[in-house]
Amino acid sequence: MRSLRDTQSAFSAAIRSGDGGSLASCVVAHGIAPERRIQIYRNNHQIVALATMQATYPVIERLGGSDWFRQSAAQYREEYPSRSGDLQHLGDRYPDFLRAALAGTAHAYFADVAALAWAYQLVLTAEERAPVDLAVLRAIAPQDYERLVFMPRPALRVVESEFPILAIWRANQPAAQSVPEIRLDANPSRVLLIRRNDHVELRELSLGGSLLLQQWLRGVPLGAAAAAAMAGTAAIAGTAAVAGTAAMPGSAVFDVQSCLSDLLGLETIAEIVPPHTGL
Amino acid sequence: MTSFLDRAAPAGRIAAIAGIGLRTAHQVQILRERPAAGWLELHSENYFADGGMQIERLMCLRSSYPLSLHGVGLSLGSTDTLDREHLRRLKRLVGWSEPAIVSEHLSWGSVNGIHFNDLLPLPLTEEALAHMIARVDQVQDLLGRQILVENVSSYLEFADSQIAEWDFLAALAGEARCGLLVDVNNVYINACNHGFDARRYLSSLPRHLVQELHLAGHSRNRYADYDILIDSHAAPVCDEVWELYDFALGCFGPVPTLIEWDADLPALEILLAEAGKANQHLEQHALAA
Repeated sequence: MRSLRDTQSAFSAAIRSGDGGSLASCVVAHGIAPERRIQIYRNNHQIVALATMQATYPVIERLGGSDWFRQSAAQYREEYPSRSGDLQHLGDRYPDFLRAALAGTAHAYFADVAALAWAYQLVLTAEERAPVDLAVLRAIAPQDYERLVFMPRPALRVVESEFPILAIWRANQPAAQSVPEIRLDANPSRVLLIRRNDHVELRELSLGGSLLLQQWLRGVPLGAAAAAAMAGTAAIAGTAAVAGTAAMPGSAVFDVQSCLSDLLGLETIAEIVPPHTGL
Repeated sequence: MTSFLDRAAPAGRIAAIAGIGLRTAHQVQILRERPAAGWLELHSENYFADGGMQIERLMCLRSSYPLSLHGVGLSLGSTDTLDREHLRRLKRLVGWSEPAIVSEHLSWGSVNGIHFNDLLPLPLTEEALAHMIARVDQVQDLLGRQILVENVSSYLEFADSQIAEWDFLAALAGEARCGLLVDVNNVYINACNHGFDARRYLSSLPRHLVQELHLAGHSRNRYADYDILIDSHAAPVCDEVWELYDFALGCFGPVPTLIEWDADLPALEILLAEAGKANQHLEQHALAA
Protein backbone atom coordinates (compact mmCIF):
# COMPACT_ATOMS: atom_id res chain seq x y z
CA MET A 1 0.00 0.00 0.00
CA ARG A 2 1.25 3.45 -0.91
CA SER A 3 1.87 5.92 1.90
CA LEU A 4 -0.42 8.95 2.23
CA ARG A 5 2.49 11.24 1.34
CA ASP A 6 3.36 9.23 -1.78
CA THR A 7 -0.29 9.32 -2.86
CA GLN A 8 -0.40 13.08 -2.41
CA SER A 9 2.88 13.53 -4.30
CA ALA A 10 1.52 11.42 -7.18
CA PHE A 11 -1.66 13.52 -7.17
CA SER A 12 0.47 16.66 -7.29
CA ALA A 13 2.42 15.40 -10.30
CA ALA A 14 -0.83 14.45 -12.04
CA ILE A 15 -2.27 17.95 -11.61
CA ARG A 16 0.86 20.00 -12.19
CA SER A 17 2.73 18.21 -14.93
CA GLY A 18 -0.06 16.16 -16.39
CA ASP A 19 1.85 13.01 -15.45
CA GLY A 20 -1.10 10.98 -14.14
CA GLY A 21 0.47 7.56 -14.64
CA SER A 22 1.57 7.03 -11.06
CA LEU A 23 -1.74 8.21 -9.61
CA ALA A 24 -3.84 6.34 -12.18
CA SER A 25 -2.34 3.05 -11.04
CA CYS A 26 -4.01 3.44 -7.65
CA VAL A 27 -7.38 4.81 -8.84
CA VAL A 28 -10.47 2.60 -9.28
CA ALA A 29 -11.92 2.82 -12.81
CA HIS A 30 -15.66 2.17 -12.16
CA GLY A 31 -16.51 2.49 -15.84
CA ILE A 32 -14.41 5.60 -16.50
CA ALA A 33 -10.68 5.53 -17.18
CA PRO A 34 -8.67 6.77 -14.16
CA GLU A 35 -6.93 9.30 -16.42
CA ARG A 36 -10.31 10.80 -17.27
CA ARG A 37 -11.19 11.06 -13.58
CA ILE A 38 -7.86 12.71 -12.80
CA GLN A 39 -8.46 15.15 -15.66
CA ILE A 40 -11.49 16.53 -13.76
CA TYR A 41 -9.19 17.69 -10.96
CA ARG A 42 -6.68 19.07 -13.44
CA ASN A 43 -9.46 21.06 -15.13
CA ASN A 44 -10.80 22.34 -11.80
CA HIS A 45 -7.32 23.50 -10.85
CA GLN A 46 -6.89 25.39 -14.12
CA ILE A 47 -10.37 26.94 -13.97
CA VAL A 48 -10.00 28.17 -10.39
CA ALA A 49 -6.49 29.54 -10.97
CA LEU A 50 -7.49 31.35 -14.16
CA ALA A 51 -10.65 32.84 -12.59
CA THR A 52 -8.60 34.13 -9.66
CA MET A 53 -6.00 35.71 -11.93
CA GLN A 54 -8.74 37.27 -14.08
CA ALA A 55 -10.34 38.79 -10.98
CA THR A 56 -6.99 40.20 -9.82
CA TYR A 57 -5.60 41.36 -13.16
CA PRO A 58 -8.52 42.41 -15.40
CA VAL A 59 -6.50 45.32 -16.85
CA ILE A 60 -3.66 43.00 -17.89
CA GLU A 61 -6.17 40.65 -19.51
CA ARG A 62 -7.63 43.57 -21.43
CA LEU A 63 -4.19 44.81 -22.50
CA GLY A 64 -2.93 41.42 -23.65
CA GLY A 65 -6.19 39.86 -24.83
CA SER A 66 -7.88 36.83 -23.32
CA ASP A 67 -5.91 34.17 -25.24
CA TRP A 68 -2.55 35.70 -24.33
CA PHE A 69 -3.64 36.16 -20.71
CA ARG A 70 -4.82 32.56 -20.41
CA GLN A 71 -1.44 31.34 -21.61
CA SER A 72 0.47 33.82 -19.47
CA ALA A 73 -1.51 32.89 -16.33
CA ALA A 74 -0.88 29.18 -16.99
CA GLN A 75 2.87 29.75 -17.41
CA TYR A 76 2.90 31.86 -14.26
CA ARG A 77 1.15 29.09 -12.32
CA GLU A 78 3.77 26.59 -13.48
CA GLU A 79 6.66 28.85 -12.53
CA TYR A 80 5.12 30.22 -9.34
CA PRO A 81 2.68 27.60 -7.99
CA SER A 82 0.35 28.64 -5.19
CA ARG A 83 2.05 28.66 -1.80
CA SER A 84 -1.02 29.45 0.30
CA GLY A 85 -4.38 27.92 1.12
CA ASP A 86 -5.75 31.44 0.76
CA LEU A 87 -6.43 31.93 -2.94
CA GLN A 88 -6.12 35.67 -2.58
CA HIS A 89 -2.32 35.30 -2.57
CA LEU A 90 -2.27 33.50 -5.91
CA GLY A 91 -1.20 36.48 -8.03
CA ASP A 92 1.42 37.93 -5.70
CA ARG A 93 4.42 37.16 -7.94
CA TYR A 94 2.77 37.89 -11.29
CA PRO A 95 4.41 41.34 -11.67
CA ASP A 96 7.85 39.69 -11.18
CA PHE A 97 6.93 36.96 -13.65
CA LEU A 98 5.88 39.50 -16.28
CA ARG A 99 9.00 41.60 -15.66
CA ALA A 100 11.19 38.62 -16.52
CA ALA A 101 8.98 37.27 -19.30
CA LEU A 102 8.47 40.59 -21.13
CA ALA A 103 11.81 42.35 -20.52
CA GLY A 104 13.02 44.05 -23.70
CA THR A 105 9.71 43.58 -25.51
CA ALA A 106 7.13 46.18 -26.51
CA HIS A 107 4.98 44.90 -23.65
CA ALA A 108 7.52 45.42 -20.86
CA TYR A 109 5.18 47.98 -19.31
CA PHE A 110 2.66 45.21 -18.47
CA ALA A 111 4.83 44.36 -15.44
CA ASP A 112 4.43 47.82 -13.93
CA VAL A 113 0.68 47.86 -14.63
CA ALA A 114 0.49 44.46 -12.90
CA ALA A 115 2.43 45.90 -9.94
CA LEU A 116 -0.21 48.62 -9.75
CA ALA A 117 -2.96 45.98 -9.81
CA TRP A 118 -1.31 43.98 -7.03
CA ALA A 119 -0.78 47.12 -4.92
CA TYR A 120 -4.50 47.80 -5.42
CA GLN A 121 -5.31 44.37 -3.90
CA LEU A 122 -3.01 45.01 -0.94
CA VAL A 123 -4.54 48.43 -0.26
CA LEU A 124 -8.05 46.94 -0.44
CA THR A 125 -7.28 44.50 2.37
CA ALA A 126 -4.84 46.42 4.56
CA GLU A 127 -5.48 47.43 8.15
CA GLU A 128 -7.66 50.50 8.64
CA ARG A 129 -6.05 53.36 10.56
CA ALA A 130 -7.48 56.86 10.74
CA PRO A 131 -5.39 59.81 9.55
CA VAL A 132 -3.46 61.58 12.28
CA ASP A 133 -4.85 64.74 13.86
CA LEU A 134 -2.29 67.35 12.86
CA ALA A 135 -2.90 69.19 16.13
CA VAL A 136 -0.25 66.85 17.61
CA LEU A 137 2.38 68.99 15.83
CA ARG A 138 1.53 71.97 18.05
CA ALA A 139 2.96 70.18 21.05
CA ILE A 140 6.30 69.59 19.32
CA ALA A 141 9.14 72.12 19.40
CA PRO A 142 10.20 73.23 15.87
CA GLN A 143 13.80 72.16 16.53
CA ASP A 144 12.52 68.57 16.96
CA TYR A 145 10.71 68.45 13.60
CA GLU A 146 13.58 66.87 11.71
CA ARG A 147 13.57 63.91 14.07
CA LEU A 148 9.82 63.24 13.74
CA VAL A 149 8.84 59.90 12.27
CA PHE A 150 5.79 60.11 9.99
CA MET A 151 4.14 56.69 9.91
CA PRO A 152 1.99 56.22 6.77
CA ARG A 153 -1.43 54.60 6.99
CA PRO A 154 -1.29 50.86 6.21
CA ALA A 155 -3.92 51.07 3.43
CA LEU A 156 -1.57 52.97 1.13
CA ARG A 157 1.09 52.10 -1.46
CA VAL A 158 3.26 53.96 -3.96
CA VAL A 159 4.05 52.42 -7.35
CA GLU A 160 6.63 54.02 -9.63
CA SER A 161 7.14 53.36 -13.30
CA GLU A 162 8.96 54.86 -16.25
CA PHE A 163 5.69 54.34 -18.15
CA PRO A 164 2.42 56.30 -17.77
CA ILE A 165 0.79 53.41 -15.89
CA LEU A 166 -2.00 55.42 -14.25
CA ALA A 167 -3.26 56.61 -17.63
CA ILE A 168 -2.99 53.04 -18.97
CA TRP A 169 -4.82 51.69 -15.90
CA ARG A 170 -7.69 54.16 -16.20
CA ALA A 171 -8.08 53.70 -19.95
CA ASN A 172 -8.22 49.90 -19.65
CA GLN A 173 -10.73 49.37 -16.90
CA PRO A 174 -13.11 46.54 -17.85
CA ALA A 175 -16.01 48.97 -18.36
CA ALA A 176 -14.01 51.41 -20.52
CA GLN A 177 -15.60 51.68 -23.99
CA SER A 178 -12.69 52.99 -26.02
CA VAL A 179 -9.00 53.32 -25.30
CA PRO A 180 -7.33 56.65 -26.11
CA GLU A 181 -3.87 56.53 -27.62
CA ILE A 182 -1.29 56.66 -24.83
CA ARG A 183 2.35 57.37 -25.64
CA LEU A 184 4.52 54.98 -23.64
CA ASP A 185 7.36 57.53 -23.61
CA ALA A 186 5.13 60.19 -22.04
CA ASN A 187 5.72 61.21 -18.44
CA PRO A 188 6.65 58.49 -15.97
CA SER A 189 4.16 57.65 -13.21
CA ARG A 190 4.44 57.83 -9.45
CA VAL A 191 1.09 56.57 -8.28
CA LEU A 192 -0.33 56.85 -4.79
CA LEU A 193 -2.98 54.24 -3.98
CA ILE A 194 -4.90 55.01 -0.81
CA ARG A 195 -8.10 53.46 0.53
CA ARG A 196 -10.88 55.85 1.37
CA ASN A 197 -13.98 54.21 2.89
CA ASP A 198 -14.92 51.44 0.46
CA HIS A 199 -12.84 52.42 -2.56
CA VAL A 200 -9.20 52.85 -3.54
CA GLU A 201 -8.18 56.28 -4.81
CA LEU A 202 -5.32 56.45 -7.32
CA ARG A 203 -3.52 59.72 -8.05
CA GLU A 204 -0.22 60.92 -9.41
CA LEU A 205 2.29 62.24 -6.87
CA SER A 206 5.00 64.79 -7.59
CA LEU A 207 8.51 63.35 -7.80
CA GLY A 208 9.43 64.95 -4.46
CA GLY A 209 6.21 63.80 -2.79
CA SER A 210 6.74 60.25 -3.99
CA LEU A 211 10.36 60.17 -2.79
CA LEU A 212 9.43 61.63 0.60
CA LEU A 213 6.56 59.21 1.13
CA GLN A 214 8.76 56.27 0.21
CA GLN A 215 11.30 57.38 2.82
CA TRP A 216 8.50 57.53 5.38
CA LEU A 217 7.39 54.03 4.39
CA ARG A 218 10.90 52.91 5.37
CA GLY A 219 10.58 54.61 8.75
CA VAL A 220 13.13 57.36 8.00
CA PRO A 221 12.71 60.51 10.20
CA LEU A 222 11.64 63.75 8.50
CA GLY A 223 15.07 65.43 8.30
CA ALA A 224 16.85 62.47 6.73
CA ALA A 225 13.81 61.67 4.58
CA ALA A 226 13.74 65.21 3.17
CA ALA A 227 17.51 65.11 2.49
CA ALA A 228 17.16 61.80 0.63
CA ALA A 229 14.16 63.08 -1.34
CA MET A 230 16.09 66.25 -2.27
CA ALA A 231 19.10 64.23 -3.42
CA GLY A 232 16.83 61.89 -5.38
CA THR A 233 15.08 64.81 -7.07
CA ALA A 234 18.37 66.41 -8.08
CA ALA A 235 19.71 63.09 -9.41
CA ILE A 236 16.63 62.43 -11.53
CA ALA A 237 16.51 66.02 -12.82
CA GLY A 238 20.23 65.75 -13.67
CA THR A 239 19.74 62.47 -15.52
CA ALA A 240 16.85 63.98 -17.50
CA ALA A 241 18.97 67.02 -18.42
CA VAL A 242 21.88 64.85 -19.62
CA ALA A 243 19.52 62.67 -21.63
CA GLY A 244 17.85 65.74 -23.08
CA THR A 245 14.44 64.52 -21.95
CA ALA A 246 11.86 66.37 -19.92
CA ALA A 247 11.58 65.53 -16.26
CA MET A 248 8.11 65.67 -14.72
CA PRO A 249 6.79 69.19 -14.37
CA GLY A 250 7.99 70.78 -11.17
CA SER A 251 10.36 67.93 -10.45
CA ALA A 252 13.69 69.76 -10.72
CA VAL A 253 13.43 71.36 -7.30
CA PHE A 254 12.47 69.64 -4.09
CA ASP A 255 10.30 71.84 -1.92
CA VAL A 256 9.89 70.15 1.45
CA GLN A 257 7.13 72.49 2.62
CA SER A 258 5.05 71.87 -0.48
CA CYS A 259 5.57 68.07 -0.41
CA LEU A 260 4.79 67.89 3.29
CA SER A 261 1.67 69.95 2.84
CA ASP A 262 0.50 67.79 -0.10
CA LEU A 263 1.08 64.47 1.69
CA LEU A 264 -0.58 65.59 4.90
CA GLY A 265 -3.48 67.05 2.91
CA LEU A 266 -3.96 63.66 1.27
CA GLU A 267 -4.31 62.14 4.76
CA THR A 268 -1.48 59.70 4.18
CA ILE A 269 -0.17 59.67 7.76
CA ALA A 270 -1.55 57.56 10.61
CA GLU A 271 0.81 58.69 13.33
CA ILE A 272 3.57 61.21 13.99
CA VAL A 273 6.04 59.83 16.49
CA PRO A 274 7.95 62.48 18.47
CA PRO A 275 11.72 61.96 18.97
CA HIS A 276 11.59 61.03 22.64
CA THR A 277 9.05 58.24 22.04
CA GLY A 278 11.25 56.39 19.58
CA LEU A 279 9.89 53.56 17.43
CA MET B 1 -48.15 31.86 17.78
CA THR B 2 -44.38 31.83 17.66
CA SER B 3 -43.12 31.50 14.13
CA PHE B 4 -40.70 28.74 13.32
CA LEU B 5 -38.05 31.35 12.43
CA ASP B 6 -38.53 33.23 15.69
CA ARG B 7 -37.25 30.41 17.85
CA ALA B 8 -34.11 31.72 19.41
CA ALA B 9 -31.05 29.52 19.52
CA PRO B 10 -29.29 29.02 22.82
CA ALA B 11 -26.42 31.49 23.19
CA GLY B 12 -23.49 30.57 20.95
CA ARG B 13 -25.48 28.09 18.90
CA ILE B 14 -27.38 28.21 15.64
CA ALA B 15 -31.02 27.08 15.73
CA ALA B 16 -32.18 24.29 13.47
CA ILE B 17 -33.12 26.66 10.67
CA ALA B 18 -31.77 27.41 7.21
CA GLY B 19 -28.89 29.80 6.53
CA ILE B 20 -27.33 31.14 3.37
CA GLY B 21 -23.75 31.64 2.21
CA LEU B 22 -22.63 35.26 2.45
CA ARG B 23 -21.26 36.18 -0.97
CA THR B 24 -19.73 39.54 -1.90
CA ALA B 25 -22.36 40.22 -4.58
CA HIS B 26 -25.15 40.08 -1.96
CA GLN B 27 -23.43 41.90 0.89
CA VAL B 28 -24.78 45.40 0.24
CA GLN B 29 -28.36 44.17 -0.19
CA ILE B 30 -28.15 42.10 2.99
CA LEU B 31 -26.73 45.07 4.90
CA ARG B 32 -29.50 47.32 3.60
CA GLU B 33 -32.48 44.98 3.90
CA ARG B 34 -31.43 42.58 6.67
CA PRO B 35 -33.53 39.75 5.18
CA ALA B 36 -34.86 36.95 7.35
CA ALA B 37 -32.04 34.48 6.78
CA GLY B 38 -31.58 32.27 9.83
CA TRP B 39 -27.79 32.61 9.79
CA LEU B 40 -24.87 33.32 7.48
CA GLU B 41 -22.00 31.08 6.50
CA LEU B 42 -18.83 32.58 5.05
CA HIS B 43 -15.63 31.23 3.66
CA SER B 44 -13.10 31.94 6.37
CA GLU B 45 -10.25 32.82 4.00
CA ASN B 46 -12.28 35.65 2.44
CA TYR B 47 -12.08 37.44 5.80
CA PHE B 48 -8.42 36.87 6.63
CA ALA B 49 -7.56 40.43 5.61
CA ASP B 50 -6.20 42.96 8.10
CA GLY B 51 -8.96 45.42 7.17
CA GLY B 52 -11.07 46.75 4.33
CA MET B 53 -14.60 46.61 3.09
CA GLN B 54 -15.21 42.88 3.58
CA ILE B 55 -14.14 43.06 7.20
CA GLU B 56 -16.21 46.16 7.91
CA ARG B 57 -19.31 44.63 6.35
CA LEU B 58 -18.91 41.48 8.40
CA MET B 59 -18.48 43.56 11.55
CA CYS B 60 -21.87 45.16 10.79
CA LEU B 61 -23.59 41.87 10.00
CA ARG B 62 -22.31 39.87 12.95
CA SER B 63 -24.68 41.61 15.35
CA SER B 64 -27.70 40.76 13.15
CA TYR B 65 -27.01 37.15 12.21
CA PRO B 66 -25.43 34.10 13.83
CA LEU B 67 -22.30 33.19 11.84
CA SER B 68 -20.62 30.03 10.68
CA LEU B 69 -17.01 30.09 9.43
CA HIS B 70 -16.42 27.52 6.72
CA GLY B 71 -12.76 27.06 5.79
CA VAL B 72 -11.61 25.81 2.41
CA GLY B 73 -7.83 26.25 2.63
CA LEU B 74 -6.50 24.64 5.79
CA SER B 75 -5.63 21.42 3.98
CA LEU B 76 -6.45 19.27 7.01
CA GLY B 77 -5.50 15.98 5.36
CA SER B 78 -2.17 17.15 3.93
CA THR B 79 1.02 15.46 5.05
CA ASP B 80 2.72 18.87 5.08
CA THR B 81 2.83 20.56 8.47
CA LEU B 82 -0.15 22.76 9.24
CA ASP B 83 0.25 26.32 7.98
CA ARG B 84 0.69 28.33 11.19
CA GLU B 85 0.04 31.67 9.50
CA HIS B 86 -3.25 30.33 8.09
CA LEU B 87 -4.23 29.12 11.55
CA ARG B 88 -3.20 32.41 13.15
CA ARG B 89 -5.48 34.33 10.80
CA LEU B 90 -8.31 31.85 11.35
CA LYS B 91 -7.94 32.17 15.10
CA ARG B 92 -7.96 35.97 14.84
CA LEU B 93 -11.14 35.84 12.72
CA VAL B 94 -12.80 33.41 15.13
CA GLY B 95 -11.84 35.74 17.97
CA TRP B 96 -13.53 38.87 16.68
CA SER B 97 -16.42 37.43 14.67
CA GLU B 98 -17.48 34.95 17.41
CA PRO B 99 -19.03 32.36 15.08
CA ALA B 100 -21.36 29.69 16.39
CA ILE B 101 -19.74 27.12 14.09
CA VAL B 102 -16.26 26.65 12.60
CA SER B 103 -15.87 23.98 9.95
CA GLU B 104 -13.36 22.51 7.50
CA HIS B 105 -13.20 19.54 5.13
CA LEU B 106 -12.27 15.89 5.00
CA SER B 107 -9.74 16.60 2.28
CA TRP B 108 -6.26 17.81 1.51
CA GLY B 109 -5.02 20.55 -0.81
CA SER B 110 -1.25 20.89 -0.57
CA VAL B 111 1.91 18.84 -0.62
CA ASN B 112 5.60 19.82 -0.61
CA GLY B 113 4.52 23.41 0.03
CA ILE B 114 2.47 23.68 -3.16
CA HIS B 115 -1.25 24.39 -2.82
CA PHE B 116 -3.90 23.34 -5.30
CA ASN B 117 -6.65 25.43 -3.68
CA ASP B 118 -9.03 22.53 -4.10
CA LEU B 119 -10.67 19.96 -1.82
CA LEU B 120 -8.84 16.82 -2.93
CA PRO B 121 -9.94 13.35 -1.79
CA LEU B 122 -8.03 11.24 0.70
CA PRO B 123 -7.44 7.52 0.41
CA LEU B 124 -9.63 6.14 3.19
CA THR B 125 -6.95 4.13 4.97
CA GLU B 126 -6.00 3.56 8.60
CA GLU B 127 -2.98 5.82 8.04
CA ALA B 128 -5.15 8.66 6.69
CA LEU B 129 -7.62 8.23 9.57
CA ALA B 130 -4.87 8.44 12.20
CA HIS B 131 -3.43 11.46 10.39
CA MET B 132 -6.80 13.25 10.23
CA ILE B 133 -7.49 12.55 13.91
CA ALA B 134 -4.12 14.06 14.88
CA ARG B 135 -4.64 17.10 12.62
CA VAL B 136 -8.17 17.84 13.82
CA ASP B 137 -6.90 17.48 17.36
CA GLN B 138 -4.12 19.95 16.65
CA VAL B 139 -6.46 22.50 15.05
CA GLN B 140 -9.01 22.25 17.87
CA ASP B 141 -6.22 22.72 20.41
CA LEU B 142 -4.88 25.78 18.60
CA LEU B 143 -8.33 27.33 18.15
CA GLY B 144 -9.47 26.32 21.62
CA ARG B 145 -12.80 25.06 20.32
CA GLN B 146 -14.49 22.23 18.49
CA ILE B 147 -14.67 22.24 14.69
CA LEU B 148 -16.97 20.38 12.32
CA VAL B 149 -15.54 18.32 9.46
CA GLU B 150 -17.43 18.09 6.17
CA ASN B 151 -17.52 15.25 3.65
CA VAL B 152 -16.42 16.36 0.16
CA SER B 153 -17.56 15.35 -3.31
CA SER B 154 -15.07 13.23 -5.22
CA TYR B 155 -14.53 12.06 -8.77
CA LEU B 156 -12.21 9.17 -8.07
CA GLU B 157 -11.68 6.45 -5.48
CA PHE B 158 -8.38 4.95 -4.38
CA ALA B 159 -7.81 1.23 -4.71
CA ASP B 160 -6.00 1.40 -1.35
CA SER B 161 -9.09 2.62 0.53
CA GLN B 162 -10.00 0.23 3.34
CA ILE B 163 -12.74 2.12 5.17
CA ALA B 164 -16.17 3.23 4.00
CA GLU B 165 -16.40 7.03 4.03
CA TRP B 166 -19.25 7.01 6.60
CA ASP B 167 -17.22 4.80 8.94
CA PHE B 168 -14.18 7.02 8.41
CA LEU B 169 -16.16 10.13 9.38
CA ALA B 170 -17.73 8.47 12.40
CA ALA B 171 -14.36 7.22 13.64
CA LEU B 172 -12.75 10.61 13.04
CA ALA B 173 -15.44 12.49 14.94
CA GLY B 174 -15.48 9.92 17.73
CA GLU B 175 -11.71 9.98 18.23
CA ALA B 176 -10.98 13.66 17.60
CA ARG B 177 -14.17 14.82 19.34
CA CYS B 178 -15.06 17.05 16.43
CA GLY B 179 -18.55 17.40 15.00
CA LEU B 180 -19.71 16.51 11.51
CA LEU B 181 -21.05 18.75 8.78
CA VAL B 182 -22.85 16.46 6.35
CA ASP B 183 -23.16 17.81 2.83
CA VAL B 184 -26.22 15.96 1.52
CA ASN B 185 -25.46 16.98 -2.06
CA ASN B 186 -21.93 15.57 -1.74
CA VAL B 187 -23.31 12.29 -0.36
CA TYR B 188 -25.66 12.12 -3.36
CA ILE B 189 -22.85 12.97 -5.81
CA ASN B 190 -20.47 10.38 -4.36
CA ALA B 191 -23.19 7.73 -4.21
CA CYS B 192 -23.79 8.25 -7.95
CA ASN B 193 -20.09 8.56 -8.84
CA HIS B 194 -18.89 5.59 -6.81
CA GLY B 195 -21.96 3.39 -6.63
CA PHE B 196 -22.91 3.17 -2.96
CA ASP B 197 -26.24 3.58 -1.18
CA ALA B 198 -26.62 7.20 -0.03
CA ARG B 199 -29.19 6.22 2.60
CA ARG B 200 -26.86 3.67 4.07
CA TYR B 201 -24.18 6.37 4.29
CA LEU B 202 -26.48 8.74 6.20
CA SER B 203 -28.01 6.14 8.48
CA SER B 204 -24.54 4.92 9.47
CA LEU B 205 -23.49 8.28 10.93
CA PRO B 206 -24.09 8.68 14.68
CA ARG B 207 -26.95 11.17 15.12
CA HIS B 208 -25.31 13.10 17.95
CA LEU B 209 -22.22 13.94 15.89
CA VAL B 210 -24.04 15.70 13.05
CA GLN B 211 -24.36 19.41 13.78
CA GLU B 212 -24.91 20.97 10.35
CA LEU B 213 -26.14 20.01 6.90
CA HIS B 214 -25.30 21.49 3.50
CA LEU B 215 -27.47 21.56 0.40
CA ALA B 216 -26.30 22.64 -3.06
CA GLY B 217 -26.78 22.12 -6.76
CA HIS B 218 -24.58 20.01 -9.01
CA SER B 219 -23.99 19.44 -12.70
CA ARG B 220 -23.74 16.24 -14.74
CA ASN B 221 -20.86 15.41 -17.13
CA ARG B 222 -21.38 12.63 -19.65
CA TYR B 223 -18.44 10.33 -20.45
CA ALA B 224 -19.29 7.74 -23.12
CA ASP B 225 -21.98 5.70 -21.38
CA TYR B 226 -21.21 6.87 -17.85
CA ASP B 227 -22.10 10.06 -15.99
CA ILE B 228 -20.05 11.90 -13.39
CA LEU B 229 -21.76 14.41 -11.15
CA ILE B 230 -19.77 17.58 -10.44
CA ASP B 231 -20.25 19.62 -7.27
CA SER B 232 -20.74 22.94 -9.08
CA HIS B 233 -22.68 24.98 -6.48
CA ALA B 234 -24.16 26.73 -9.50
CA ALA B 235 -27.76 25.51 -9.58
CA PRO B 236 -30.83 24.95 -7.39
CA VAL B 237 -30.95 21.86 -5.18
CA CYS B 238 -32.39 19.01 -7.29
CA ASP B 239 -35.43 16.92 -6.30
CA GLU B 240 -33.35 13.84 -5.52
CA VAL B 241 -31.21 15.80 -3.06
CA TRP B 242 -34.32 17.30 -1.40
CA GLU B 243 -35.59 13.72 -0.93
CA LEU B 244 -32.26 12.67 0.53
CA TYR B 245 -32.35 15.76 2.78
CA ASP B 246 -35.67 14.54 4.19
CA PHE B 247 -34.08 11.19 4.87
CA ALA B 248 -31.12 12.92 6.56
CA LEU B 249 -33.47 14.93 8.79
CA GLY B 250 -35.11 11.65 9.74
CA CYS B 251 -31.69 10.32 10.75
CA PHE B 252 -30.28 13.38 12.52
CA GLY B 253 -33.35 15.38 13.51
CA PRO B 254 -33.64 19.07 12.54
CA VAL B 255 -30.16 20.65 12.36
CA PRO B 256 -28.93 23.98 10.93
CA THR B 257 -28.92 23.71 7.15
CA LEU B 258 -27.03 25.83 4.64
CA ILE B 259 -27.94 26.55 1.04
CA GLU B 260 -24.60 26.76 -0.78
CA TRP B 261 -24.51 28.67 -4.06
CA ASP B 262 -21.13 29.98 -5.22
CA ALA B 263 -21.07 30.13 -9.03
CA ASP B 264 -23.63 31.69 -11.39
CA LEU B 265 -24.93 33.37 -8.27
CA PRO B 266 -28.69 34.08 -8.45
CA ALA B 267 -30.55 37.08 -7.03
CA LEU B 268 -30.64 37.07 -3.25
CA GLU B 269 -34.40 36.46 -3.36
CA ILE B 270 -33.87 33.14 -5.14
CA LEU B 271 -31.27 32.08 -2.60
CA LEU B 272 -33.63 33.03 0.23
CA ALA B 273 -36.44 31.09 -1.45
CA GLU B 274 -34.23 27.97 -1.43
CA ALA B 275 -33.54 28.58 2.25
CA GLY B 276 -37.31 28.97 2.78
CA LYS B 277 -37.83 25.59 1.17
CA ALA B 278 -35.28 24.04 3.53
CA ASN B 279 -37.11 25.67 6.43
CA GLN B 280 -40.35 23.96 5.36
CA HIS B 281 -38.62 20.59 5.48
CA LEU B 282 -37.05 21.43 8.85
CA GLU B 283 -40.38 22.51 10.27
CA GLN B 284 -42.11 19.32 9.14
CA HIS B 285 -39.47 17.28 10.91
CA ALA B 286 -39.56 19.49 14.01
CA LEU B 287 -43.35 19.01 14.23
CA ALA B 288 -43.02 15.28 13.67
CA ALA B 289 -40.44 15.10 16.44
